[in-house]
Amino acid sequence: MKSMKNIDSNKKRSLAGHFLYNLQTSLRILVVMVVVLGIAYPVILAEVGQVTLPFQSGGSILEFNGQKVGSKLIAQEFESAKFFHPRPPGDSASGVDPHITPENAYSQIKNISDATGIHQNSLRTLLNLNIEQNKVTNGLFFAPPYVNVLEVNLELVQQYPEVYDRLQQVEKEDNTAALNGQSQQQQKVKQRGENNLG
Amino acid sequence: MDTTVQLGVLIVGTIGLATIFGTYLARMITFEMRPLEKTLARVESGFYKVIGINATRQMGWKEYFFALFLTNMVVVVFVILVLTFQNYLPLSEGKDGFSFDLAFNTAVSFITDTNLQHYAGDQQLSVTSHMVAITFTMFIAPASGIAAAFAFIRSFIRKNYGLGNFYVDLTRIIVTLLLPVAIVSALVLMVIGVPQTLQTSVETNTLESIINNNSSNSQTINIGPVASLESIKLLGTNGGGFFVSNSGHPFENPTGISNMYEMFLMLIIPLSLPIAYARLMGKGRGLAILVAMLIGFGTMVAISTSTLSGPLLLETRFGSFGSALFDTVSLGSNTGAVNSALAGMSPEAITSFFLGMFVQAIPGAVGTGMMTMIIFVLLTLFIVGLMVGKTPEFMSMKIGPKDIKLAVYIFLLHPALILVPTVIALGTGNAQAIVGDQVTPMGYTQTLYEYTSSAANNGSDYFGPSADTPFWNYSTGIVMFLGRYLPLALLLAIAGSFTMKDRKEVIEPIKTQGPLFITILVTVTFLLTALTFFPFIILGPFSI
Repeated sequence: MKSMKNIDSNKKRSLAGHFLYNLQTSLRILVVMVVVLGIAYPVILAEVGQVTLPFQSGGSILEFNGQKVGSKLIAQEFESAKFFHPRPPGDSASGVDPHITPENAYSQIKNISDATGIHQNSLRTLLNLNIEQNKVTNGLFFAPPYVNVLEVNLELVQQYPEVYDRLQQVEKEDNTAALNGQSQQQQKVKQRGENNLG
Repeated sequence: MDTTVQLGVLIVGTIGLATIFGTYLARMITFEMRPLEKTLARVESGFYKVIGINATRQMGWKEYFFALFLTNMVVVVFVILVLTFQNYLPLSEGKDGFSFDLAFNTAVSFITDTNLQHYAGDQQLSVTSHMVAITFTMFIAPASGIAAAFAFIRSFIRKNYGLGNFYVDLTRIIVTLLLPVAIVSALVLMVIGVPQTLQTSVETNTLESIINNNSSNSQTINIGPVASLESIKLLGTNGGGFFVSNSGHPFENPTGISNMYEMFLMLIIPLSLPIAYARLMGKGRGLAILVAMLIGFGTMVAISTSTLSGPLLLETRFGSFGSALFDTVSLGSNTGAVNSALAGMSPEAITSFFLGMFVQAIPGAVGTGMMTMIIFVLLTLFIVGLMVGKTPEFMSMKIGPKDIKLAVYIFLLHPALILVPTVIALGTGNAQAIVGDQVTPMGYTQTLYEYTSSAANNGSDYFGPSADTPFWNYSTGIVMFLGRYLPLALLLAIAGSFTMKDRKEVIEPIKTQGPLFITILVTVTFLLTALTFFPFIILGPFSI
């Protein structure tokens, strides 16, 4: 009986020792790997990105007149009838993709032409150029044809500065004509909704 | 045309890459010479020294599992602490700490390679949490799964020697497999347009606000260390996105090229393991497993692309085919990173996704997918053995009643872990709180999907942050936990049993290779899965 007890207690002690040995190793793995994988890996990559790929690693931010105008990859709202419009946020998976199908873009041509006086054919050419450009970006075969709304609108503003210079005045006149602050309030609400979608 | 090219590039590319990686993995399993062996060995021994690992110590299956389990649980405690107290950590940017139930769910979710997310990453997680809790765990979880597969394969090679050392395997898999590929892939993704920065957001104007000289009309764009998370998210079949819309978000998956690259990443390791197996156990045996996986995966692709999905709730730049293919790869490999909203996918596609999660082996997650397929091989041998009246043998070893019992437990555990909680959630009204009082086939499908995804350690779901309630956090947390560690323990127990067996160089009564065996294996796998789950599929996606 005595010897049996001894064996038992030995076993228990070794089990506890075993547990402690493994716990210590696990904790050391935690510390070392958190430093290597959780800190060094992403931080070094971020530094490398800042130096070698500043545009992409910073979120593909485009500039216009020296100001940040948004990300090439993220949709923004366009109120004016002079611009192409992205899909409503609730329509896509991310809710922030700036891409629309060529059919959708072509269907907006008439309205934009009416609002700006730009010839429909010119708008169509502009869209086709963007579609071709996107095709190359996607290795010809790896995505269906699409239009990047922000890129196309930027192109419009750059190609037709006189048309889009007057945007400001026209809209101000519209606002005074409406004679109430409702439209502005609506804008704010819409924006908040967008922010929530992230 | 586009679809053919995409499918062709995907299949040829992944099988080509898997051949290279499979050879490398085979050498890792048996500790043979790899390319750059001297350098790699020096780096590894550096890690052993710092961590304090006795690399020569061998482990039996119990010790191997215990080491895996304990290491994982230490990570769980760490992640819970980081998430709960993230507001006290650096770079918190005013983000609140997680509630305990959400932190528990998230920690279990990531360590089990599931990555079910009941939170919105870019809004609720600080940069520190994203790196130290999420990205870090995304290495440990797949490395644990691959390590278990290494031990499992060794049990067929080694007799009475031990299955290896878990700490050695974990370190080697991270340092000389996952980390180098993750770094290269993160750089590739950055070139394509995935951000990588420690900033949390960029304030910019909009085009209209600049033209209108109205700079108050600005937008906030959330960014962060996305590329470093993205590459290991897919390489380790983790699947937890930086953003809510996961690989649908333009920052996680900017173009069709990144879409293809991310599919490569998800398939490389799951398809490499059967090739490693072929190198070690005989070409025919490994090929049989690989072909069975590809037939299953091909079936999934055929079903999910049979009808058009969207365009509502799909990303325009991927379209119906690009979304269905990506999601099928993701569900087949149990990654769970979708590039579309599930609600936008056709019922056929959803059925195909369920198929992937039910089988868990076409090709399944890194490590566990291949082991699950071998379980189907054992079950097939048993059933065919009964039919022809011969004792089933595998690798010239007799399969005993104990092995078959363990294999059957693994198989039966899966439906139990899915169906019991689904009934509880619907019976207690917790499901109705999300899907609505009237449980439609859609609502039922969403509930079934949540637990199927948890039990299969997949991680895609319909609910997202709307399921951030104690009931859903705890129930899915428990299902993910059991769905990971019970099968792993049983698989390693089978390995423990095989490593003790006598090997006889005799002709096996039923060869586990060749077209006939592959046909039977695929049929048995399909039948077992169909018999178990068909009623629930008919009530769910079939009725939508």
